[in-house]
Order: sequence, then structure tokens, then C-alpha cells
Amino acid sequence: MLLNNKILEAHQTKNFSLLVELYQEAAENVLAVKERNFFRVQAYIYALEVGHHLTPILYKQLVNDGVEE
Amino acid sequence: MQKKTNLELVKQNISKANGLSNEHYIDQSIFDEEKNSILFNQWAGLDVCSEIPEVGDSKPIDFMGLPLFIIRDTQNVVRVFQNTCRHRGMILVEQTKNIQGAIRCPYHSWCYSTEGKLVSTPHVGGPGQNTDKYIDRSKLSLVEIRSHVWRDVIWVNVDGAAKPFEEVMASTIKRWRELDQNLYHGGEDGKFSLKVKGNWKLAVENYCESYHLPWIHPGLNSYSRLEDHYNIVKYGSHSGQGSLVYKQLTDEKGQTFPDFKNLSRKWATGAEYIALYPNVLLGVHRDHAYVIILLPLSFSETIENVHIYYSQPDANPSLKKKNKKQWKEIFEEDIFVVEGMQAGRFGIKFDGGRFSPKMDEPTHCFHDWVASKVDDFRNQNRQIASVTE
Repeated sequence: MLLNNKILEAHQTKNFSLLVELYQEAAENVLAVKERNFFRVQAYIYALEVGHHLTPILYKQLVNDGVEE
Repeated sequence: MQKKTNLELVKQNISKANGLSNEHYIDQSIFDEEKNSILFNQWAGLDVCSEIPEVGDSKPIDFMGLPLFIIRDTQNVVRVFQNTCRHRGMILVEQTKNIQGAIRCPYHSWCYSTEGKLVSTPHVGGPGQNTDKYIDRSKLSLVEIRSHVWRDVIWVNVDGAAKPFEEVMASTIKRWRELDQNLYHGGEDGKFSLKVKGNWKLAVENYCESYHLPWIHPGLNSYSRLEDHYNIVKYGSHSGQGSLVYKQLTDEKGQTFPDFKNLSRKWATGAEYIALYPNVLLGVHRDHAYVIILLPLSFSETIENVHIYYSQPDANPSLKKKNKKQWKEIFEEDIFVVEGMQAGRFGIKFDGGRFSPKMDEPTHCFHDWVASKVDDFRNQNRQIASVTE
């Protein structure tokens, strides 16, 4: 299944933990910084909501890229 | 238009006073006025901590049209917030749930910690950019409602201007000091709700007097006779009734609930039932206690949320069932009275009623409190109006 379809399905089923991982994967698959940060923000927000173990890592990456405070 | 009712008549000595007029029960503008003059500016009961036992538990509550939610934060502190996102005003917590991380707004996903701090604002500075120089997160925390916990009840002072809880409730806290012990909620067998087609004040009035017991609760009166009751009256604070002949519930083996510790002799056969103004009804006994929180839905509808507590966490399950059943039957017996008085308030020639100086003082005490608070509120508004004119 395409990553895009997996993301849509995870949204439909409100599987937020899975969304963290899928958006993280999406962020790693793109080269453009802006696009990468968009996906990483998506991953970070769902991580924040569910208390995901990736939260501090994502946060640090976003801060390092100057897009989170 | 805001109606004005005659409050002076209510505040007179009980021998001459009339009760609150019909408008206080059937008029929307008076209902709205009382929301601000006797509920939002006082310490009102909202819910109980036992409803959110685990860290992260949250529950939305509509408090007279004000959207709130209660939450147990990561430090195990129970907090009350306005249930409104600081961004576009979206409702944040739509159903009872456990929040494991942050409170995420379901609209644009602004995220708040369980302590109410705004912790992230996704894409607020454009796609992939969570910051913007005009978005100061430190000034956009959730609006926290002033709250206090006593006897497991979450009390809220919505306008934030009331005197400290311990000061306002000092006389009741002092009266029941020896009962200020760990309370263990009875769980599913320790709670129930009743919906009543009556103004919330009528539930208070009916609760705080014992005059009606022989007529409405004949079963109860067989072992708790009218003459075994006394009035509890503290003008400006609370009123209720006490019983001198409380008899413990027993199961088929004759077992009772364990007592609260180190109680004075008074409680061996004593029980007290107090309406702590505005909207909390409390009952205490040697072996259990309960609280009823009245949530007004409209001027003619009220939810009564009842919670029963014990001195030990592992109270006898079958006895708990029996106790819940007993209290539920008693409180259900009161429903027709509250609903009947509500219907009677449409009698356009009813003058608020005449009190029995001997039997109705707890009720008059409540009416006097309502009238005094509403009067204070009207006077304040009058002063503000005169300054701004």
C-alpha cells in the first residue's frame, strides 16, 4: 500500500500512534526542507497527543530546524 | 429585559417573610441573573474527583451553558478549564477520555499540556513552521477556572473573585472537622443521577428541611421520626437538618459498613444533612457519606448527580448495592415534590409562600441567602451603571 493511502487509512481509524510513524516516514522520504518539516510537524503533533516515545526526538529536530520553540 | 423581584420581603424575619417569588423559578431573565449572582460568583459544586481517577482523565461538563472540562494533570492535580481553544474557539474535549499526552484541538491541532499551557501551534507560521512572532504562547494558555477540592467535590468559582473557599465554607468545615477523613467512592454502586423537571433551588429547599419527612418518606420516618430531627441553620452560609436516631444498614449476616475513625459519641446515632449553598447537598453518617451536586439545565430542569462514599476502599459490595438502592428510593420519592412545586410556581397569584417559623427555618435561611446575594449583585450593577452614565 502506498504511504499516502496508509496515512489516509490511519486518519480514518484515528490511529494516532501509527500516524506518528507514517508521517515520520514521509518526512524521511522527501528532500525539500519545507516539505520535510511539514510532515515532521504532523508526526510531532500526533506524538504530543498520544505521549509517543518519539516526541522528544521530533521536538529536537524541529527546534534544530528553527520551526519549533 | 431584566425583571426585578421584591427581595426585601424575602429577607424579613421568618415570621413575616415571604418566599422567593415565582419569577425565581420560571423566568429566563431571573435564571440568567442568578447564574451570575449566586452560582458563578460563589463556590459552586461542579463534579467529583472520583470521576477522573487516573492521571490524564478528562471530562467535559456544561455548567449552565458554560463549556468546561475537568482533568487530572500529570502531577495528579485536578484542574478545571474553559473548554474552548484559544485559537478559533473550538471545543477541545468533546467526550470523557484519558489524555496520554497533550490536549489537541480537533480543529487546527493547537496543543495544550494537561496543566493548560499552549505547547505547540502547528503550521502557525506557514506549512512546517510552528512559530510566528505574533503568537506568544505564554499568553495563550487555556483559561483556568478557579477551583478547590473538599470532600472529593470539585468546587468552582467562575468569576474568580470570591473569598477563599476555606473562608467561605469555614463554619461547615469546622462543624464536620472530625469527619474530614479519607473518603472512598463506592464506584458504580456508589453513584447515580436523577433528572428532575424543576428549578434547582427547589431541590435545595426540599433537601434542607425535615418537615416533609412523615408525608413524603413514611418508611424513613418509621425509624427516623420528625421529633428526632433538629434544624441546622447558619444564615449566610448553609442550612439543613440533623437526625438523632441514625441506624446503620446491615446485611443478612448483620454486618455493617466500617466506621470513620475516632468519631465523638454524637455520631453513634447522629447524622447530618446540609445544603451548602448554592448547589451542593451533603449527608454524613458514622459509616458513609454522600454528596449531591445539582446542575441546572434550565430554569425548569435539573440534574442531580449523587455520589456515595465509605470509610474503607473495600466496603462490602452487597451492602453498597443495598445502600445505593435505599438512597435512590428516598431521593426518587422527592422528585414529585420538586416537580409539583415547579408546576405550582405558575400560579400567578402565589406570593412566594408563608414559612412555618418552627419548621421552615432552613428553607428561609436559603431564601434569605439567595435574596441577599441577588440584591448585592443588583446594587453592584446599579453602581457600575451610575458610574458609566
